[in-house]
Amino acid sequence: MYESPYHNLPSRAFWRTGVTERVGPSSADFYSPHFKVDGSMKIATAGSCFAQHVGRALRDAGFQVVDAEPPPPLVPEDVFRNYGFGLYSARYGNIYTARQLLQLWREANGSFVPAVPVWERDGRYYDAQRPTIEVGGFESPESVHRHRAPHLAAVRRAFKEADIFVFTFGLTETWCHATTGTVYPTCPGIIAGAFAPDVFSFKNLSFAEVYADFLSFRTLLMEENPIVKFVLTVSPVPLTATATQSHVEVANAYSKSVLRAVCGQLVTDFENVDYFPSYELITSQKNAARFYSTNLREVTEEGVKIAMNTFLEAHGGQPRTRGRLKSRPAGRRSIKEVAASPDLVCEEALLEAFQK
Amino acid sequence: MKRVILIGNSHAASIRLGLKAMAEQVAQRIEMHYFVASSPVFSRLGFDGSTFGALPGTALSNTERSFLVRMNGTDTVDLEDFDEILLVGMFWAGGNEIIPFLRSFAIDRLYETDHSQRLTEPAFAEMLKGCFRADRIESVWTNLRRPKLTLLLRPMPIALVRRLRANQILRESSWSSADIDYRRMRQVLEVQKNLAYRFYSDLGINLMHQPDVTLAPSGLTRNRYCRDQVDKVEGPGGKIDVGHMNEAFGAICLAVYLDQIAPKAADQ
Repeated sequence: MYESPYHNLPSRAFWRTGVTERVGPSSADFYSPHFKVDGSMKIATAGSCFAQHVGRALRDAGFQVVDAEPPPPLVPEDVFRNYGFGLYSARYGNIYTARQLLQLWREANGSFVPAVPVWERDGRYYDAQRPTIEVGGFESPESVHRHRAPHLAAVRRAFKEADIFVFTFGLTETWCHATTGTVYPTCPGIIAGAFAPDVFSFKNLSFAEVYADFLSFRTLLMEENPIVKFVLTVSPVPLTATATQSHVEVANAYSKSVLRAVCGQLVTDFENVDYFPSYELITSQKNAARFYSTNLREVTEEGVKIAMNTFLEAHGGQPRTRGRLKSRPAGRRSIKEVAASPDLVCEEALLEAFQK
Repeated sequence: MKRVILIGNSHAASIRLGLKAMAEQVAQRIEMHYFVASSPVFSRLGFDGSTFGALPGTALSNTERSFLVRMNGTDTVDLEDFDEILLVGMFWAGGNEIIPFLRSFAIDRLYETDHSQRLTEPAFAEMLKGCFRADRIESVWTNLRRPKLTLLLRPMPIALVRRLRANQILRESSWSSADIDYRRMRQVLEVQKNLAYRFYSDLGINLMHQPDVTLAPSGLTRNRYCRDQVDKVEGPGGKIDVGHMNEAFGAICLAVYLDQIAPKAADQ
């Protein structure tokens, strides 16, 4: 007589023991990495806004997060983040779709030129591929291009030196240039630019498209960086709005399902791709929306902390114990530290001048 | 006659030396007192609204406390006894926070270099203002009831720094860098100076710039105002302190300060 295939499975395989009776929002067996990420590895991060938390948590835990465009030391974090510093491994801002990621990498390598690269608003000019990067915009279209060139060089450096590339899939819905297919991180006309229905069109990417885009990105990046491994996540942050005809909650379910399925397929297909289930952890019935703020959209600090601690524990990193995320890129010193250092041995100057 | 207290760190030394050189002139216009400490000690001193110094509970070693008393005759001072405070050398606006910009960034029009990162001028300005705010000078020094506060930031290092290697410099070695384009930085320093002036004015603090006459065309301090002999560096293992200035420098600063707070009768 044969035993049921379910007979010897661990408790995590069953809903009752794995979820209903689980103590706490997460557990040690929630995530079993396919490969280890350790402190000797250089990690590049990109993705939708949830990916910012990933980068910060990794940095706080002592991992080497690549920053090819670091902010000037001593500038407070709340200031430099406004200019896109310290968010990701270069100042590309949020990358919501795999297509946008592929496009950026191709542009950085000279094989893609985005259509309508500059958006205007009130006499100021914005980089259409990262419209929030310059508070108040640039003074001219030429200035946008002048600033984009070194940024693309930084993207090349960041991605090429990464041992681990962490990408958080955010959306399937995107806005694109109707003729060329260039995609944008935001709908033209929201931050800057003007929405022209004959120029721009809505696109809801399918499983096949998202999969193909990421596959192309992986292939192209590995031509330059053959040792790179990928850790994928899906953002648990729901859509702000949908341009489909569906209810936003239904559209959100489609979008996240596609992204989650793509991650699953990529993990199945490639040994150097892993998936970290922050999406499942935050959205779990077990946690009954407790990790969402009152708008039921933004993830709370506690949720981020628990998700990232699950990641860190699985990889042997130091879980964060502080409630508040703080980050300081390696090698940066506080203003007090800098202020104190030059005068550590200056007593003799004072003695000479002031001795009573 | 105005009662003035000079409060500061090691950079106050040049002012004190300058004062000795022009004691008579100064004594005719103001009554000058002092309260100085090294930067590490200074950062632990407190202010309760009237008294400044090693307030009860201040963590100082016996050596630090005795040094403070040795310098000042006391470990606290009542600021309400004074009309003016000249705060020297503390706070870093006008100082080191500019170095990373100069070393790593091109700044549109202001600093056109081949650095791999680029900032617009407004972004540069916002970031500098962020640095000024991070000093939190207002947390102590804008609660003053009586004396008016003038801030003299620490001086720029001497121009010789451009030709030195970091291991030849006793302090401020980060100013020695092949990544700094010394020929182009003056404009950046001017913007920084103007931003700092506006920032401190908004807090009711008079920011006194380093007098122009002490500056070389690059915006660094002229070598002749260095506290050290500039040829000191030439010996084997020789190092030079490029950040601290001498009596002549102190006298110039003091003269400018006097003209601001106590102009001569004929000037009034």
